[in-house]
Amino acid sequence: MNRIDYKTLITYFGVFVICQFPILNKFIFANNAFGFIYIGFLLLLPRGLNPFLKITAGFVLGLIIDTFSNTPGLHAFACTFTMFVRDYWYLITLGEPEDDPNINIFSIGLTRIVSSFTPLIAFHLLLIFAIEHGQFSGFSKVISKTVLSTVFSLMVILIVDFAVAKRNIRS
Amino acid sequence: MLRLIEFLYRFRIFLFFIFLELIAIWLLTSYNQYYNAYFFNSSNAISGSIQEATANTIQYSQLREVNSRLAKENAKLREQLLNRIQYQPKIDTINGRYVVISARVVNNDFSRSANYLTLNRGTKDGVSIGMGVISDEGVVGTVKSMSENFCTVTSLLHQEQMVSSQLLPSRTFCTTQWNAAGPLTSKVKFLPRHVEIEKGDSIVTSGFNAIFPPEILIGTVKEFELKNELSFYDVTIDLANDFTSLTNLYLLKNELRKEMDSLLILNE
Repeated sequence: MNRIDYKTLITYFGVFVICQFPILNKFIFANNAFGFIYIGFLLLLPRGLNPFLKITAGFVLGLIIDTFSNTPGLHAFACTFTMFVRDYWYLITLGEPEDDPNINIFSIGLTRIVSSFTPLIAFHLLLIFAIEHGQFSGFSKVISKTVLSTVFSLMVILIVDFAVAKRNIRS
Repeated sequence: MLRLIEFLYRFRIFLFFIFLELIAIWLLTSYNQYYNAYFFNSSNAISGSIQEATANTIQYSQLREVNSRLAKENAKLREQLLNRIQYQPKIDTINGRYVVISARVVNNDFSRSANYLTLNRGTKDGVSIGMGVISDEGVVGTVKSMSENFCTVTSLLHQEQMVSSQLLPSRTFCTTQWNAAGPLTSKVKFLPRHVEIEKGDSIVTSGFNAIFPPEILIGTVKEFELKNELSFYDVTIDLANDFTSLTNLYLLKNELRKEMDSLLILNE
């Protein structure tokens, strides 16, 4: 069985989480598309990790994001939820874990990675926007924000994953 | 007992998940509590320092624009000084009541439903909760929480932020509250139907509290509508500030605030 690629994981953390605040928080397309790429780090965590570790990673990452965006508990709630359902969802879309526990565009394939990530990102963003909105009126705006942000975030996550995973395969 | 332990062991992951979700919900619902607001927001020491470093880098590229804005503000103040006009921007002092603390924006949200700013001034500079924040253009928000070196400001672009206002020139009192329809406009509530409104009329602070002095500009009337079944106008204003590019702001410390607040409490 292949080992977990910690070097790639650290790179993912650097790009997805640290770049979230200074760069992607400032880019908003069409007033509705937000780049929540930090979720990429959680989605690309290897399969087969200790479940407690995965859920805790989601919670802690959410708290870090909350601290910077003045939304205590909001991202922590959504990240913990996403990490809880993530492996059940991967069982449906990707099947049982294979020899390689690492998740990236080369090991899984573009089609399967898009079909696995899109619903999770959409669900994660829907949770955040719905809780933040806090009311039923104007919910169509929440939906449009979710759809546009999902597309935007997914695209950035795939580009970063492509670049990082390819570089690490070469080296 | 054994069965209980067996049950807990079997569902340990789910129970752990529920435990963390409950903590998140508790944080989410208790944001207004002091300790929560103090630790988990952008004014705490660690996130404040990181954001300040980021802002330093980004704002370096905006120096030309900031310089020109400050030069314009300087010219405006000089003109007022020379002409000794009666209208004062009310940001230096108002009968000795307000002390002004200049501050720089280190983080600024303007695209969410609840927006906050982080400024590079904290308790060591004399910042306290509830202080008003303005720019040279107009009202920006109020201080929500602070650490030693930073403070978090609830922006005017926050759906729960209400500012006691008045319409000029009729001096009719009203309330400004944002409706999350973008960072450029806001809504004005409780303007009664007998009042005459024109496009371009100013909405300014009323001065009916200890936060803002009177007649600080909030915005100008963009459009208004008077529905038959309603007692009040539906008014949209263009905000005086461009919230997408705030850099230098002023915190207003009201020296008589405690006295004013204690009188209000006595009267309640």
